[in-house]
Amino acid sequence: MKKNIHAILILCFFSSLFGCALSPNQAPTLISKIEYAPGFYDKHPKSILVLPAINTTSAADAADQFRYTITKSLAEQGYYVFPIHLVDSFFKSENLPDAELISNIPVKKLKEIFQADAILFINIFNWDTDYEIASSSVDVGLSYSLIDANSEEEIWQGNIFSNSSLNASSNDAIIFLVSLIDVAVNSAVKYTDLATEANTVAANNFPYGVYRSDYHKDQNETIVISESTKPFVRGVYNPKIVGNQIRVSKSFVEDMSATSDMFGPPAPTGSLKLMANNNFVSLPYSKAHHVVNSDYLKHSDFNDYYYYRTENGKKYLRHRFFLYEENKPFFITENKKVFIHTDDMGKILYSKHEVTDFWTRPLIGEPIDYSFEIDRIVNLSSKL
Amino acid sequence: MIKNMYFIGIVFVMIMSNGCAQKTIKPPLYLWDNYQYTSSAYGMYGEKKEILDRHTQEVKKIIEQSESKNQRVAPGIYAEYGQLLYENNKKEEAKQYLLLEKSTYPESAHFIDLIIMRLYGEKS
Repeated sequence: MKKNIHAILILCFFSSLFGCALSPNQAPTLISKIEYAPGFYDKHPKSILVLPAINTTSAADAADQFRYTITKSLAEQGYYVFPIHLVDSFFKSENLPDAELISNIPVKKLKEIFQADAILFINIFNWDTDYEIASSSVDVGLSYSLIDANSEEEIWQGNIFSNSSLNASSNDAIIFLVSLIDVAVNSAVKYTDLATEANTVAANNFPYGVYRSDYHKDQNETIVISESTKPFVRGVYNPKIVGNQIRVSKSFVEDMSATSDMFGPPAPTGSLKLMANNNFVSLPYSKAHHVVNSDYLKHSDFNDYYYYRTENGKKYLRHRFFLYEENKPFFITENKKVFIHTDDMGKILYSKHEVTDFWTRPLIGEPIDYSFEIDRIVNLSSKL
Repeated sequence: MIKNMYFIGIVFVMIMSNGCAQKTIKPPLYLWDNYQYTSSAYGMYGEKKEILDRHTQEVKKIIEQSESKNQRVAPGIYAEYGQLLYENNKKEEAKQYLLLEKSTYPESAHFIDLIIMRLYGEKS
């Protein structure tokens, strides 16, 4: 008996070690919430107005699906979220049915109408669904930005790239709707689950709001930044700082199967078929993650890597795969926030190099990597 | 002594496994039930009577259950019930719920006042 307990304890001990074991190439960086978004806690909004999402995908329902499910995620984080359907009706009554039009309303005007502390802008650029009888999945790519309504400053920003898949489940709600209406609604219900999953990921790292008992006490809670999820492959490495440059491997910038690189001309349009892509790491349902740096760069075929963000009437170009603070792009790597240079327009500056180092030189394909010019570095205090 | 050792061992293992835990699951603040589904369906196919009715029932149920458990009703729920009642032509009852949103969540006051003014042509 005693021996048994011994064995169990030892087993527990090792499993606790391996439960979160990381492959050598996958050193995550931890960043505290306050380091992630230094401007947030000063403003600390209590109420959030979620604007209709700007949807640049071909999936017409994507934006709505995402938005209708975000209320719960944000409310559970402790915020007052303005009632979404009432907000929609209001905009309709103002002859503003379109997300694009609504997002062009000056923040000051929105503040006047709603008295919201903060406004959430969502930009959905990928919503690739694969709906089948037995299972369905959706690849979601979106950027979101929380603007403080008083100062009009951006206080939180993030990109979500997640794949959620769902097996046919015995969910009551699904049964109710199958019996009630039609197939279109039935599939919509599945997407409701998937959308919920995606925006739970978005809201999970968010600072806690006033309706939670731990309000304002989470500045030092950490967000885990996962880098490459690939095991060690020659020619693939995490971003590394070399002098005043940050070097990234080719796979960081180009998908293995990509036909054009992400900083150059737009890749050909076409739907993303990520499931068919060998490089894509499929995540099980409920384990979608908040990717910050690089995994998603394996996704190719985005037809537009840049989008515009307007702040105080000024337009800023944003690259979807970078995080931004004060409209400057940065990486999180090696326990540092590494800000990189852009041109005046906001385009990311980069250069290509031939890789001569034997160990990092890929065996197949062009031996090339990329570098970005470092603007400044902020060291992070959180350690694993 | 041996018991103590085991105790320490167990605590140690718990700490170890905790260190890696992604996030402890926090108890939900509010009751939602099937809200996500009926709300999404209402948003997309709200013109269908069945969908409107179903969402109305769901929101009503959430309010009743929360209140019976003395639990705060989630943000926006009272206002939404008010909106649904209004669509069902129960205008006076609707107004009560809009006001309830305002008293439960003062953050909503300005917007709710605006809605009440639009719908009833009066200040609350």
